[in-house]
Amino acid sequence: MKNAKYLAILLAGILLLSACGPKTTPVPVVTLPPATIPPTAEPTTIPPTAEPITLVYWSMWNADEPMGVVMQQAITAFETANPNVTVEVTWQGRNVRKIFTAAIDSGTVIDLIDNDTARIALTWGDKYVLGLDSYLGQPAIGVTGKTVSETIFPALINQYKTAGGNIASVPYNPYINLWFYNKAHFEAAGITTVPTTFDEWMTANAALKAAGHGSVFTYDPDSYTDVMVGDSVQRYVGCDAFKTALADKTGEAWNSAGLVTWAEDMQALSVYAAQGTSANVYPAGQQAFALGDVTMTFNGTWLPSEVAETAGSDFPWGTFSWPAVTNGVGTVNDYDMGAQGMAITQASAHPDVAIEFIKYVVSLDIQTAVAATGYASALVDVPWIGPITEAYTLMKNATSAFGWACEGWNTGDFFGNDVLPAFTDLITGKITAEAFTAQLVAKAKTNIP
Amino acid sequence: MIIAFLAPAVIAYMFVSIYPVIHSTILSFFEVSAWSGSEMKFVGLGNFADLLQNSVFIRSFGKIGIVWLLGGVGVFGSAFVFSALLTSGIKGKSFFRAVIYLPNLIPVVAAAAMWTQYIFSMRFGLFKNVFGALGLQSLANIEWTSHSVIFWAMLIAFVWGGIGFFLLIILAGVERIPVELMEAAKLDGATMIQVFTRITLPLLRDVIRVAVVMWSITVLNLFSFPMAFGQTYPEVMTPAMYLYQLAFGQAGGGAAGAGANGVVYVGRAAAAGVILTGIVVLIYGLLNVVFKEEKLEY
Repeated sequence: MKNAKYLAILLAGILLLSACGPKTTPVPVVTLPPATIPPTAEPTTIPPTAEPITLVYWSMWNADEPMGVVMQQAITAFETANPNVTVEVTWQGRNVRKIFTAAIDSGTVIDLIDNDTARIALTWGDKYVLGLDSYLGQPAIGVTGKTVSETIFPALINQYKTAGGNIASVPYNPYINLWFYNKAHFEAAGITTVPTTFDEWMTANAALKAAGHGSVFTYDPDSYTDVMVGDSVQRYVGCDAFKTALADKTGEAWNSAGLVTWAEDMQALSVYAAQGTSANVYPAGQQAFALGDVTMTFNGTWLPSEVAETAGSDFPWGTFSWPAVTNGVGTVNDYDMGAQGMAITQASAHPDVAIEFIKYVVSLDIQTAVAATGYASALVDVPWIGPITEAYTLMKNATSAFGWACEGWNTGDFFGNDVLPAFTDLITGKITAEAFTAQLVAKAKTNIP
Repeated sequence: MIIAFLAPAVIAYMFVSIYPVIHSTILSFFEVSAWSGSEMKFVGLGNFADLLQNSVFIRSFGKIGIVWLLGGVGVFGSAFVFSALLTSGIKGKSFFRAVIYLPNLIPVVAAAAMWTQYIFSMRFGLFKNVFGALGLQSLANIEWTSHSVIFWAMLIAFVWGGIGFFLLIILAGVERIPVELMEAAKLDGATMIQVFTRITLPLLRDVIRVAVVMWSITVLNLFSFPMAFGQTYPEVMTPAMYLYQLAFGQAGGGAAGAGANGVVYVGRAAAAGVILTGIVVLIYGLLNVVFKEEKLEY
C-alpha cells in the first residue's frame, strides 16, 4: 500500500506537469516570398546614450512564418537606424499568451509583447501593460503630417481599452471575419452583386443551387462556429442582447422575437449547407472551399494565406459582409474584427525607446511589407492586396467593430458547451429552429450557474 | 551511510514530486487568478464545491468512465486476442508485434490528424469508402467527426493507439507461463477457452492487476487525444482537459484562440488535480483489494 501511495503521488505530479503541455495551434502556411523592406523614410528620434539599450521582445510569432519574417526585418531596420539599441527577440509563438503574465509576475524582464488587442487590454490590462495614449499623438514614421493614431484604422485603435480607460496596444495586423466566396460560381449563377440583406442572400443561394452549385457554404465547426453564431446574431439582436441571453438563467430570452427570427433564418439557411459540414475538422471545411467544391465559407482575413497552396494563384476570391436583416439591430458595416497589437509592459525600463520600435512596426514601410505577405495592414493608407483586396474596402467602410463572436466566450461555459453545438445542428439542418430554441431554454435553466 | 547514499535521490524526488502535490493541495483551498503574483483568497472547500456542482466537470467523469469500460474492453480484448495469436507459433511474430506496437510511436497530434482528416473524412475517408463499397450506406454516412459522434470516433482512435502497449505487457506475462501447463491441459481434453480461462487468466493475475492500474491511470489522465480531436467540443471534455482549461484559459476563438478569454482559475484547477489524485489512489486501493497480491510460482 505504501508503494501505492508513492505511485499515486508521483502520478499526480506527472498529471500536473502534463497539464503544462503546449496547446496545438495550427500555424498558417504561406507560400508568398518574404517581403523586402525599403529603407525607412524618416529616422527615429532616440537620443544617443552612453550605455547601450536592450529591448526584450516576446513575440507571438514563430521566426519562420511570414509575420515572423516581417518582424525580424523590422527589428533589423530599427537596429540599423539606432545602433545603440538592440532588440532581443524570443519567438514564443501563440503560447506566449499563456506564459506572459506568469513570466512578468516572476520577475522576467520583458519590454515588448504582442498579442490579440482584446487580450492585451481586457485580460492583461493596466496591471501588466502601459497606457499608450500619450504616445499615439507622436508623428508617424513614413506618413507625412499624421500622428500614429491617425494612420491606423479608427475602429481598431479605439476598439479595446483597459479598465482604467487606456489604449493598451498599437494594432499592427488586423483581421475581419467575412464570407469568402468563389466569384466564378457567382458568375455562373448570374449573380452580379454581393448580397447585403438576408433576402438577397437567400435569392443568391437559390440561384447557386439552380446553377449546379448546391454545396453553397461550409465552415469548420471546431474552429469557427463561435463566429458564425456571433456574427449572425449581431445582425438580429446585437451583441449586448445576445450576451444577456447567454446569462439568462430562465432561458426565456431565447424565446424573444429577435432570437426566434434568427433561429428561423438559420434553419432556412441550413438548406444550403454542404453535405458533411458538421463533420469538418479544421481545416477540412476551408480546404473544400479552396478546392472549389463549395461556394462560400465564413472565416477571417487570414484565410487566403492559410489555403494559398490549395487555392492557387488564380482562385477567384471575393468577400462580403454578413448580410443584414429587416428590423435587425446590426448593419453590414458592423464587423467582428480585431488585431494583433504590440504593447509595452509596465515593468519596461525603456518605454520611450520601446515606443519607437512600435512606431517602426506601424511605419509605412513595415506595414507595406505586412501587406505584401498577404496579411492585412493596420494602416488606412496601405491597401490590402490579392484575395483580400475587397476586404480592405469593407474595412475602410466599417462603422463599428465588435469582439470575436460577440465576446460570447466571456459569458461562461453555456456559450461553448450548449449554444455552439446546438447552432451547428441548426445550421447544418439536423434540428429545427423550434428544437434549437427549446433546447437552449431547457439547458439554460440547468447549466447556467 | 545508507541515508547519505539515498539522500540525494530522496531530496530530488521530494522536490519534483512531493512539493508540487503539497503546493497544489494548498492552492486548492484558495481563489487564485494567476499562476504567480496573484492575491490568494482563502475559500476553504469552495473550489471543490464549485467543481462538484459544475455539470461540465461532472459529465467529464462520465466520459472517462465510458472510455475506461468500453475502451478497456476494446484494448484488453484485442490485446488478449493478439497475444494468443502471437504465442500460437505464428511465423513473423516479431514483425506483427512491431506492427501492432507501431501506433504508440506515432505522435498523438499526427495520429489524430490521420484519423480526423483521412480515416473519418466524409469526403474521401477510409470508413466512408470501405463501408460504401460493402453496401453499408448507413455506416458509410456516419459523420464521425461531428460533435455528436466525435466522442466515439475519439474512443476508436484511442483504443487503436492503446492496444500495442498493453499487448506487450500481456504478451510478456503469457510467455512466462510454462508451455507444459498448456500442453497438459490440452492432453486432458481442455478446449482453448478452458485453457484461457482456467490456466492463462489465473496465472496472469498480477500482470492483469498492473495492466488495469496503468489503464485506469491512462484514462484518468486522458488529455492528448481529446485535445487533438476537438478541444472546443464539450462532448470530448475529460477531467484533465477541464483542469487544463481552468489553469491555462478556455479553448475556442478560432484556430488562433483569438476569442478565448484567457481567464484562469488556478485554485480551482488545483482542486481538480487533487480530486483526480484522490481518485487514482482510490482506484489503486480498490484494485489491490480485488486483485490480492499472491506469490505465484511456476
